Amino acid sequence: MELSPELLRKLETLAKIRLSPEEEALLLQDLKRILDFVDALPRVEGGEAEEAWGRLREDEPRPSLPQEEALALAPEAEDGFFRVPPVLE
Amino acid sequence: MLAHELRARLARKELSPKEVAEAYLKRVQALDPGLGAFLTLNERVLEEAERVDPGLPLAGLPVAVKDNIVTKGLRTTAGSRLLETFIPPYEATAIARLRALGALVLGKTNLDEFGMGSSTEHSAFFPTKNPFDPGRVPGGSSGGSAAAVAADLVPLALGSDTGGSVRQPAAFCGVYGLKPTYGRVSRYGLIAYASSLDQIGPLARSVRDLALLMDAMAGFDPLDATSLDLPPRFQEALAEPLSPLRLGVVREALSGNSPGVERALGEALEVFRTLGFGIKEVSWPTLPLALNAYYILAPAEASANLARYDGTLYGYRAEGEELWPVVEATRGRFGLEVKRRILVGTFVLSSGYYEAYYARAQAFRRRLRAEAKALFQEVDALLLPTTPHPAFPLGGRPDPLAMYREDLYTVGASLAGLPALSFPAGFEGHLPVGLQLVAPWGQDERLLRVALAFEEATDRAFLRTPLGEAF
Repeated sequence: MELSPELLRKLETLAKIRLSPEEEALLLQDLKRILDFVDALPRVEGGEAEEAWGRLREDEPRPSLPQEEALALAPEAEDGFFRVPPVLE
Repeated sequence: MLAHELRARLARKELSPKEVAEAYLKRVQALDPGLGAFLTLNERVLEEAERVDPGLPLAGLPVAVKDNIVTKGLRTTAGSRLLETFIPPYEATAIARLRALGALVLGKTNLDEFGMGSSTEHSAFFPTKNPFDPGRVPGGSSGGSAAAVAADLVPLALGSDTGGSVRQPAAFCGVYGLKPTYGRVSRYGLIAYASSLDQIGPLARSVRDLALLMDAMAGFDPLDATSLDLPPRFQEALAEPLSPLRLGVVREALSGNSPGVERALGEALEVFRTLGFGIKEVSWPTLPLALNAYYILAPAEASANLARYDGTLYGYRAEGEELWPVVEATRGRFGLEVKRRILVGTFVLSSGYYEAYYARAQAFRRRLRAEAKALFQEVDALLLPTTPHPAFPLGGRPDPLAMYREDLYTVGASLAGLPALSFPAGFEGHLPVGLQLVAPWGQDERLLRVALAFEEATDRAFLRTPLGEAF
């Protein structure tokens, strides 16, 4: 599998993860080897159809986390809202 | 003393819940500095022991909980810097059920970050040591739970298993570990890694102890959409007589094993033959490539599940002036293995590669599951090593692919959603060896019955207490 530094940077952007230059060099090698490894997987015909797993419960209201408790966990909160840094200047 | 024996003494009031909790806490304080099994101790445990209703079925039994299972009011880190100070405002269903029956949470155990690893060396905090040899790993990712049980710092523990994370550490630490059928134990409150595979499972020093935990925590939960409505009947099943079954030895797991593993397997087969079991070699052709499929599917699910750690709602947030750079720097605090898997997962799900990787792995998974189903027409359970070798030295798997191969024999049952149990079955030198039983879907109780037959026939010969016992 050819994994260019450009493709790795694209993956970093998609995954919203910043790597250090050392991590980039290391992971470029690791990812190539991991993708070669998984690429050894043969293509098989579909097998049996996917079983239906699980079931959905009725959409009934039930008590949820009180607002204060949820906000208490936030890195930053203000006036009953989560506060984040500005998206645009 | 085993947990079910301890429970009997508690019930007869020969021991009080507080005495029990104190004894285990004392052992943790004396021994855990050298082991590193616990990340957090429950500072309220003595208070809870005093208040527990003595009439409850698990009254006063201490349980250690892997730190990716949320405990209300008790720090839960998932072994990650991103959750280093996270105090959950809610309780996992498994924990709520155990507590409702009187069990006491002693503390939270170390793990590879978010369950990603096979040695507990990928914990963001410190590695855990193997109680049988401090120079070796306890396995992972539930290494803290396995080490704590093996060292009798606690009689019972919960782990979680995605590709082998209960079974492999159980084998490395000489204890029992069960990965239930997918859906038997609620995943509500289990911090998600790969949701189609993740399953909470018990670790203990006897089969009966596993049954205690399963009866307490398994069963339908409306809060988990993949929960199964299969009421647990483990202790009841263990009381029934077991007629000899047909065991299938998996051919694909017979070569490349260390001498101690080979010997343990051979001796176990003799024990089962003596018990009247039929033994037959069977083939599970897709098993050797299950790992390749796993390392497409699990990272794909991880990349989606771990998207939530963006520093906005809870957990760690990096400093900064603008949103996206802050998010990227926050996620830069993941450990290297977590980053590796998120990036692999992002790749296999990305436009242009999805069909070639993710869809191919899904088709393979269906084939593997169909093969397993067909095998159970011929035999009642499968027997194979849990791992190809006993515990390896700390730092002994610097190559990520070598670490991934630790799960070679365990990922098959994971991908097929089948119940699988690792039981102590021998030693290689001073290191424990574990063997694995796999049963048909939903037949978890059968696994315990077979393992109990082995445990009784061998008179617990493979259960050792390298650091002594609390009682």
